[in-house]
Amino acid sequence: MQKADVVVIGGGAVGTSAAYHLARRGRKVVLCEMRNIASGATGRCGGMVVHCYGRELNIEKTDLRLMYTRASTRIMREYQKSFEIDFELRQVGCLDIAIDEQEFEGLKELLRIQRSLGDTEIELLDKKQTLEVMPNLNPELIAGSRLRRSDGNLNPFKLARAQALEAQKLGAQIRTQTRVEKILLSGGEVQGVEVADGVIEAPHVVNAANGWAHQLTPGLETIPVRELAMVTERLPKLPPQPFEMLCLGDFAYGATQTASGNYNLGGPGPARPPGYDYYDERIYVDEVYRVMSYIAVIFPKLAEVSVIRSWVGTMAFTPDAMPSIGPMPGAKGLFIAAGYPDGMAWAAVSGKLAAEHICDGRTSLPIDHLDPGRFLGQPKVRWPQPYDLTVCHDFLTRERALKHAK
Amino acid sequence: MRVLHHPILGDAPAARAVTIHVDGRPVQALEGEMIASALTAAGIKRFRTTSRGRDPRGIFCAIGRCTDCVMEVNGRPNVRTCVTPVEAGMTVNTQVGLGVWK
Amino acid sequence: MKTELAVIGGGPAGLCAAIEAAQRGVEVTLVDENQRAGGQLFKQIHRFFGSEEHLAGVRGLTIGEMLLEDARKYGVKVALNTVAWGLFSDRQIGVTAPDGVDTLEPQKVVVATGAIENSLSFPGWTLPNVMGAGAAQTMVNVHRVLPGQRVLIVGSGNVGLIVAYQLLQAGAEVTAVVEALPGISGYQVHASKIVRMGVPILCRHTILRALGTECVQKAEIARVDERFNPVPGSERLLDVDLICIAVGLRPLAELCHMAGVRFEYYPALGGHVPLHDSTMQTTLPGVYVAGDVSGIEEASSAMEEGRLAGIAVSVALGKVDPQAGAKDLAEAGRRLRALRLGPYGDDRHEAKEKIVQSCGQGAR
Repeated sequence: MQKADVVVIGGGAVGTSAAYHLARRGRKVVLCEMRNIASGATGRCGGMVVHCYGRELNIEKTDLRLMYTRASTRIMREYQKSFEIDFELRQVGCLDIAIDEQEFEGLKELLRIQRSLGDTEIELLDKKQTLEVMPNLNPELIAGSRLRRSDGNLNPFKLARAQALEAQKLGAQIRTQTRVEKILLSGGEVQGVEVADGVIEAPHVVNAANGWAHQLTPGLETIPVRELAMVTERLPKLPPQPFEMLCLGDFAYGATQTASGNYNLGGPGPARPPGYDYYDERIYVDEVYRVMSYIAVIFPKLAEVSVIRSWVGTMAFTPDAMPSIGPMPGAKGLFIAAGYPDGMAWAAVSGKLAAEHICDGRTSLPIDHLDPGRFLGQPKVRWPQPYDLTVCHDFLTRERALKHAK
Repeated sequence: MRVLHHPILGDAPAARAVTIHVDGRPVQALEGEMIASALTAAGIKRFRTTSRGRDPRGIFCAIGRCTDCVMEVNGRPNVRTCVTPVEAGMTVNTQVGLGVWK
Repeated sequence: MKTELAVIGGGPAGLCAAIEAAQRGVEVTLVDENQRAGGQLFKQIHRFFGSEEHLAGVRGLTIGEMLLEDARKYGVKVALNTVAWGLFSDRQIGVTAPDGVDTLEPQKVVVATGAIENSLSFPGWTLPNVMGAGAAQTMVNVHRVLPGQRVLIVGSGNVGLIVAYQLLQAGAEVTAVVEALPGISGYQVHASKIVRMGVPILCRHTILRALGTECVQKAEIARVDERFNPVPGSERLLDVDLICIAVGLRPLAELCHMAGVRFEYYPALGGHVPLHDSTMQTTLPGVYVAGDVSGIEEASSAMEEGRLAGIAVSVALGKVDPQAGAKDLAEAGRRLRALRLGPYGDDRHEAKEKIVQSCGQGAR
């Protein structure tokens, strides 16, 4: 039997952030990770930091996104001043590329919304300007783009490890290969968690298990989404921007060049037949070809580059594409920080908000819009089957405005 | 140095000479041999320099696994010279760091 | 492209697997990324050991030629210059041939991708002309170029001793062989040969650093104590221009790992090895391993493991009567067992027994 002030479930960027910020506030933290630090989406993503992910034409959500992610980046810059491990945060900018006129019109509309919120940083680039910023792109695929210069990328392994290390220095215990079987509740109050070798008693639990969060907290509407990624051999520095692109209608795509020069590309797995396992971490040869063929189309010059590794990971979406951050209704002491398809831009602030809520009972930024209970009592979300990221995108932008639980 | 007469392997088989260009200088090679062999025969040991320290590197495993021997070949960087055969007129340049991608 | 058996790697293990299977009517496709099949055999210019049935007295490169001839005779489709870059959990294989990318859809797979040399780090280890001993062997015996004239060999296992001898044959001077352990690691017969030719084998010695600006110009060696710490005052500078590292090999088993085969760690076999049963089938049904990829041994055991796998695949595909197949498997197993007898083979035999046991224990 172990006792702690807080048990954090999940050793990715968000979980380790929570462990760090809680340890900093003097709480005795035990972090339980079923595999190893950054074994989930954190260790399988592109490490991109995108402040305003997606193209939803929703003014309220855009405003919120910018608020949280900007706060998160400020926290990461604070980290850089004192953390032992350098997690290679490079704010080199990120392009969101429109491949045809229709998409470009969509981007223009999105920019209008962003500008109306006082976002002066976001830029709209036409085709020529886009190619000036990133000459290696295939000109036939570009109608225009938007650019945010404070976007960029980081090394997600190092971010998670950096936060974990600093948490440990402040007394947190990181238990890897420790799967939480159950969050223990009694009379609607958190008692702790059950792990293989017994129980860890704690009045507070943070569920930061992202793709697996809903398995531990029924009623939490996060769905796992399977994404593919691959990494190339080290290449000399191409013009620097990471980019996101919706490509050819059924493949939302991103690419980034890491600090060491490798190109990291990825996108959602193509929809597979019924019975599709969103947790299947094996990659299939047709998926490899698909990603490789897109590389060749997007970057004609990279057609000859060697891909050294390919893999699959599971991240999570919520019905309105905003993460769930906050106390779970009906479970006093349970704090949720899950449902991130764009986690690297949110991890630092998520942990801080968890620590603030647990220690002070209030948060420095409002989180009622991210209430994990906001989907309770709603008709059960009927996700199209099988779903992939683009299906999600369509589904989300068509159907869901931001929901409040109140 | 070429091993022309060997107690077990016998005499080196006759092979046509081809010219490759290494850092702008012509180097005699034998048709069909690996770039790394031609360079070794010509006494060239440093094939590239590293990104940060500019340290010299050359052959390590010689079977195409370790990528220590990579050079810029016909404009393309990261070519494993120990498993790539020479071609007449080939340009082979000492790769500096990750090279230049043309 | 559909095929009955895909063999990845055309070295001794892969060729033997292909031949046994093709002989029994299996349609075999063998891929190898090199210009020529034969793997490490063509570097082995020395005569093999073992009994007559193990082709004792025959040079490796002759065995290589014989195997290639047999493969051709039995109709094995050999695709050279073809890299297998992916083995997937459904047994599909991604390959890149000179004319483009393809997918093999085999019913069975034999992975025979061999091994890679370990390295040893010391100041100056990245200098040009610090290379693997096997690398020097490749340069001399296959490419017929001598990378240096005055050689230091680090490591007195069989690879180090044999390469020392072969460098002497090619006209180089071997200044010394250093070995950190108190005794010579390799077979006495190899050691005696080079000692007779004037090469000192310095046990309880190690390399401290390699010196030079553009390439190796000198090496500093020293004696070591029981805890492998250099003994102060024993340092010596050797005038060498080539340093060959012979500190063991490890399996090149990435394809197995990628496909999800289970591994265990066995120092006696070179490190992380894919688990297999007594017929060389791994924990992934339909995927077999043979040769150094399943544990570092020798060419003779690689060939026998290849034969085992080839026979097993033939039985699994129903090409032979199960009783006849069982008999052939037992024979191959016996020959393999004979290769692991004696003081040099016991550790490997024990490790292989444990592997088969672990494999049989099923999912963990």
